[in-house]
Amino acid sequence: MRKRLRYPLRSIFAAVVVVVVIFPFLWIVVSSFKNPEHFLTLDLGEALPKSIDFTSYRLALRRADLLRWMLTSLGVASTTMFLSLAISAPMAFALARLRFRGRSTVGGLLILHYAVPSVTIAIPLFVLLAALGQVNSLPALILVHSTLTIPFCTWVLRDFYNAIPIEIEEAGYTDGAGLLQILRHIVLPLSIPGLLAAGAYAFILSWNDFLFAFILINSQDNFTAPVGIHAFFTGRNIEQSLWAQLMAASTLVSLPSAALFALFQRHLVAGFLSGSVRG
Amino acid sequence: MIASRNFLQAAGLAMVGPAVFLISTVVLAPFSYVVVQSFLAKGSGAISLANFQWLTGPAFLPSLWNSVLITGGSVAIEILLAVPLAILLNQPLAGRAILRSVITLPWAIPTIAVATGFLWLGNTNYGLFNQIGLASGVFPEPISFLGERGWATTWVTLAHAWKGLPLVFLLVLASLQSLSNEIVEAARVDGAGRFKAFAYIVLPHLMPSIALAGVLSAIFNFALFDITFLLTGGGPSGSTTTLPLLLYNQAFRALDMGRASAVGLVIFLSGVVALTVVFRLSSRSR
Repeated sequence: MRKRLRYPLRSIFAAVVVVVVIFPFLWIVVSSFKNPEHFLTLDLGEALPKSIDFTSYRLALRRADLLRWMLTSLGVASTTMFLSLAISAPMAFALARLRFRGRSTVGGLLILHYAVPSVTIAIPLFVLLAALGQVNSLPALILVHSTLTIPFCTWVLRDFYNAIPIEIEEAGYTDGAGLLQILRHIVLPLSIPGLLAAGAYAFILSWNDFLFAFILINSQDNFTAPVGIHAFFTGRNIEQSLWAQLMAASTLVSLPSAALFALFQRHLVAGFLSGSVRG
Repeated sequence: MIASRNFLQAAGLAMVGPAVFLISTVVLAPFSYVVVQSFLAKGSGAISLANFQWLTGPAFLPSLWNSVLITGGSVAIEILLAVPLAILLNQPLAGRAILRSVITLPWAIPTIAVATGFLWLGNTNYGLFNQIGLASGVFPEPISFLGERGWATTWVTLAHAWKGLPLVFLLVLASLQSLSNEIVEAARVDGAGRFKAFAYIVLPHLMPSIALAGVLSAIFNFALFDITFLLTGGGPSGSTTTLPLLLYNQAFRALDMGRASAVGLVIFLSGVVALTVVFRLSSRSR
């Protein structure tokens, strides 16, 4: 009897522990459904929403340009995703397969890039872009985000290419295929899980980025969602309706990353474990 | 390979070209600028070590201490939580795959939402912690979790730990999965209790991964700007001004690029030292 009970009891215990760990986020989502007119309350009994109320979402989307900032974020993050893959995939293949002079220098460059913290280069980048007249430029932000993803994407994809048996490619060469045909017909289809992992990573990094968007973009028209939320929904002593809207906005901005993460988690985790991690 | 050497050379360079160009402009150029600026005196622009001398003074050292405290604290919390969580979620459970993904979700949550979560939970009057503390009588009066020294440091540390937990959890879990169950069972059969089996078999097996995850997480948390900036802005009275915030303040408030650059180099060099440790650790464990 004790043995039979152990599995369900342990499962319940584990579920409770997991809920406690995720609670800071869960509490935002739960609070976002409270009515904004009764949002701040001293009564513990009123802490939970009485019913599911979407008023906070309506107010948040109507206030300021939340929807537009989210669309900007979507554009920046999707472009970053494609650009990162377009840049990292050939580089990863070259590092995995082609013996060329300069290969080890490029490997060293990647490690140096990985070692330079974002916060160290954010301000000089601002100075550089200001000198080029490119402050507030979304294309510049996209280039910056794409560059940040290069080490992770390259390492993940290189591991994938390394795992493809070289005999398959050699058979292709023997049959008279050129490098481009090999890439298109053999390497590309086999590396799709790697591309998914790298792409999901690039999208999430770009979508979530606060630091670079905050420093490089200072016109409201070009805000990404995190910067817009910071500028319009936070502050000292904000009134209760704004608190409620902050919950709704924070839930909305988390959804795309959380959904992508849930979908591609298996591939992403394989990428983390290959030893190349940057937040 | 059939293709000629010249062709491969050209193909190789063409394939790494765009990435090398971007890394050079977006990372190396600003980084070189930081190195040069750190040696230039403010105003005169003469070459000097003044910015590095400033690093030994009272404006810098408290920030270094704050960073060490918040980084050390958050990494310790991450490890203390990740190990038991990984052991728990490595056992047969209903919905285990879902529970594991939920634990790793904080990695994907944008820092702006992480900050919202901790601001809201720690709100002085209406936050859940104060509501429960006051209702149960544990707190005689509301606690300003983000406005009091000590409490603000704790809160910022917790937020860092929350965001960094998934990485440590995943690395520890992977290491746990690579430990064959038979070894642990054999020890149990030989009379080792649960605790002994953990202390003498499981923990030593996990140690390299724990160390690796701890160092990686420390590098990340030491250089993290967003969470602290969004939660406290460095306050109250500078008690959560970490090095990334000091860098930001020096650049944008004091408009002193030299000092900001010197701080940036300190963060970079700390990371390099830690990364060297990581490479040593991972080459030893292979």
